Amino acid sequence: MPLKLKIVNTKKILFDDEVDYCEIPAKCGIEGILPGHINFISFLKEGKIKYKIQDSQNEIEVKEGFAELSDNAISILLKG
Amino acid sequence: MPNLKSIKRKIASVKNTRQITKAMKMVAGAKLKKAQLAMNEFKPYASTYEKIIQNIANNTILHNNPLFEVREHVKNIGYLIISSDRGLCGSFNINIFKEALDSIKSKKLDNQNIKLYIAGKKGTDFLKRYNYNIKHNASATVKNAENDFIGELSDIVSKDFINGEIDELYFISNRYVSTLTQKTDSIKILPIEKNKEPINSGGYIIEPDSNEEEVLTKIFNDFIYTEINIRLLESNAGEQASRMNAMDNATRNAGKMINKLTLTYNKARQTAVTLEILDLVNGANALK
Repeated sequence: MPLKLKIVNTKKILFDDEVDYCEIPAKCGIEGILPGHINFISFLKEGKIKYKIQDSQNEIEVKEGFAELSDNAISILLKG
Repeated sequence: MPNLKSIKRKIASVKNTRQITKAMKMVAGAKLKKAQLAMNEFKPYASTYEKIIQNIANNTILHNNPLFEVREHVKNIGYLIISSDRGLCGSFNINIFKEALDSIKSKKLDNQNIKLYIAGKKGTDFLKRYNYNIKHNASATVKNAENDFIGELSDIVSKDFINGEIDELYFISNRYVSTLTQKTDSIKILPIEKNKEPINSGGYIIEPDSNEEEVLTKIFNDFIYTEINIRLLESNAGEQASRMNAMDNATRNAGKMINKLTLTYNKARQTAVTLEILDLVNGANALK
């Protein structure tokens, strides 16, 4: 079961692909997401979104925004 | 016989007009490129947001948010109408007004129960003539640095909806399809459309969970902000495109007019010359 990750800010699509694992800096602490995670909505605080595709890991800096997950698809909207 | 001098004056004036319309076309073309860029940059954000809201709307659990409330007796309807600040852009504004008036009439409500929120000076000027309740008017020019008036507008409409001042909210604006076509679009924004049959009622965990309502309210308010913003950007691009086309047509028409007038002028001149020669010849003959 793949996990779809889409990260968009007001200027462009930063990332849109399938990942194996994703970590987001939620308001209540860092949240790790694997496929099959329960649906959630969460605000983000300053930090880094990390995602893994097989063995390679990447990061995207975040200032403000929110994330929504449903049906194994994460959509992250960033301000600015 | 038309006066030679007056025709000449007319040609000069049409030439002037052509120069102006040509310049306006160039300016609109430059602005269009900028507006298109801004619109395209923002589009993915807006469409992702729309999708998220759709996902949320599929979850019955969240339907107790005030923005989802469907009211049985619709007494007051709000319209957010996006027109332009400047004229001379073909049928751009006329289409908006037509759609707005048609839509308002089809609701069969008292004029005072129609509440208008207008962006764009032209819209305010036109709709002032009718007896509707204009709650708010703003400019329609999106400045890059400060989008403050959009925030104001979205705050007002969502507050009015929650307070019961309006029971439904529609957006009427021109959506950008291509440089040659803009589609007038009327869409119901509030209450947010929800699915009757929950496709996915697994629910959501909302964080921070201590103030769930606040999180959702902020997300929905931001959604309205985003919707207004993308429509303004599209309308802006559409306005420039429409103006460019209108000015292009005007330039071409002016060219045609100049050709016609030049022909008339030449004919008149020819006639005058012929008459003069005739006079001379007659005079010479008489002397023989």
